[in-house]
Amino acid sequence: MADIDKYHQYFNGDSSPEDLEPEVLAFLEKASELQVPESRRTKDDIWNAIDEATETPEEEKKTIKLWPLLSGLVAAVVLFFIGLNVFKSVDPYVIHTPVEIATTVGEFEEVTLPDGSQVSLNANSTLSYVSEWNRTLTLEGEAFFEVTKGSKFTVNTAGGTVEVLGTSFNVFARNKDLVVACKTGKVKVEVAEKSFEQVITPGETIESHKDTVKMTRIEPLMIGKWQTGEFYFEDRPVTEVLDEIQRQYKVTIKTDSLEGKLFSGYFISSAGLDMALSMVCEPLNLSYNIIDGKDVVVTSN
Amino acid sequence: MGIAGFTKEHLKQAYEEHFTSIRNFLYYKCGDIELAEDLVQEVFIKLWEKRGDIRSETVKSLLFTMANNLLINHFNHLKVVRNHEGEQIREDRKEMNTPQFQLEEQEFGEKLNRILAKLPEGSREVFLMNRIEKIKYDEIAVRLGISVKAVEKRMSKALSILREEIGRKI
Repeated sequence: MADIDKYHQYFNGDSSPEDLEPEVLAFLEKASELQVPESRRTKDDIWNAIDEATETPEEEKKTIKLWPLLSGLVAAVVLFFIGLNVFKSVDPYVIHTPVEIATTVGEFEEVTLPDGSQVSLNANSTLSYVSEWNRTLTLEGEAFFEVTKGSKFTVNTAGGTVEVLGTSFNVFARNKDLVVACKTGKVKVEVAEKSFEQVITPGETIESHKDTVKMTRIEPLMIGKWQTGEFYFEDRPVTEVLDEIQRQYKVTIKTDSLEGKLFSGYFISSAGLDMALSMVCEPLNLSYNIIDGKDVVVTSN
Repeated sequence: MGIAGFTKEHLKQAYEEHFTSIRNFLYYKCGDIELAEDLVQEVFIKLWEKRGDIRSETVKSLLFTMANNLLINHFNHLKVVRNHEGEQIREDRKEMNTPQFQLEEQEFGEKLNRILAKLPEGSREVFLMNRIEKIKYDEIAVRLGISVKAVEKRMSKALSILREEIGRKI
């Protein structure tokens, strides 16, 4: 039996493997060949995300100085191409056909926008933009955005406007409610009707409901988790949670007042309707009844 | 590196130098490469936020400490949520996965993965750091914030389990 110390010396690179047991050594050498798996994001991708999330005023000043020069160049180039097009085709009628992507109950859709930005659409949501793409779109529903760096990117909703330059964030815009959560970078949220405008950073959330607008904080890693079927809630009215369950499964949920209870927790959509209802109702001492797999009644105990 | 002296350039340098080792470290612990990358990102953002505090500790050990804490916080949050649910939740998903590796010789790879899964977490991470990144004990000690003796103990444990598992096959 080989001396443990000999192994330690080998591990520390202080000696050769001569005195070690051959079978053990074989495994140790094979272990040296292991590699950490790769994933989609490169080292540079991740650095870009860090860079954006850590912008400082000095840097912003630098970017601004560059802008006049760049915009001048861009304008010149654009004029040049417009000039070229005028010679190419004479078409006075430019019709802006809207592009619309919609999901229904229980659906989930991933879209790549013309500028390479990625959007995930939650159930019962509609996204639309003009075919002459200009980094502006309209959203009713919920979507998670990963916007490529570039010119201003705008999301219009009934409850307000969201603007970014390149970052990732979640927008929940149903009826006139608006909840925007910033995951990376910086996001500007504007609710004109309430004379509200604020720039938020990772972890910060703006919530605009009825007459109020407020800012809260959540764990950035939780933002947009619905994309993988995990729906997290922190101190939300349970009726809101049940609304989401209605959107994920094709059911109608009827409730009593449920005593205005608040829910902190999560449900997983892949676990099925019964499990989802159970995960939400049990902790709050609520009962539920699924009728024919289509109607659900939830009541306080 | 003083209180006012840590610039974006310094952050980038620290990133270039330590990205891979921090990411690997997180992967050895949680077995989820995407989580590891999310957390690496958070670590460097946090480092920037705390740049006024970089003093006695070297950037490197600060990074490893923060990475470890971020990982613990991540799983603590999930744990708390589950406790509120009580025993209604049958989550077969364990808290952390063991890292899985692939080798060209599939059989060897499978055996290795099985053995790695049997190691206690502390032993597994030092073993992988030593084998994959070829790091010596004193460096491992710095990264994990433990003594060299502690590293030795963990490697001995890894070795004894490895030998036991191999012994069974023979």
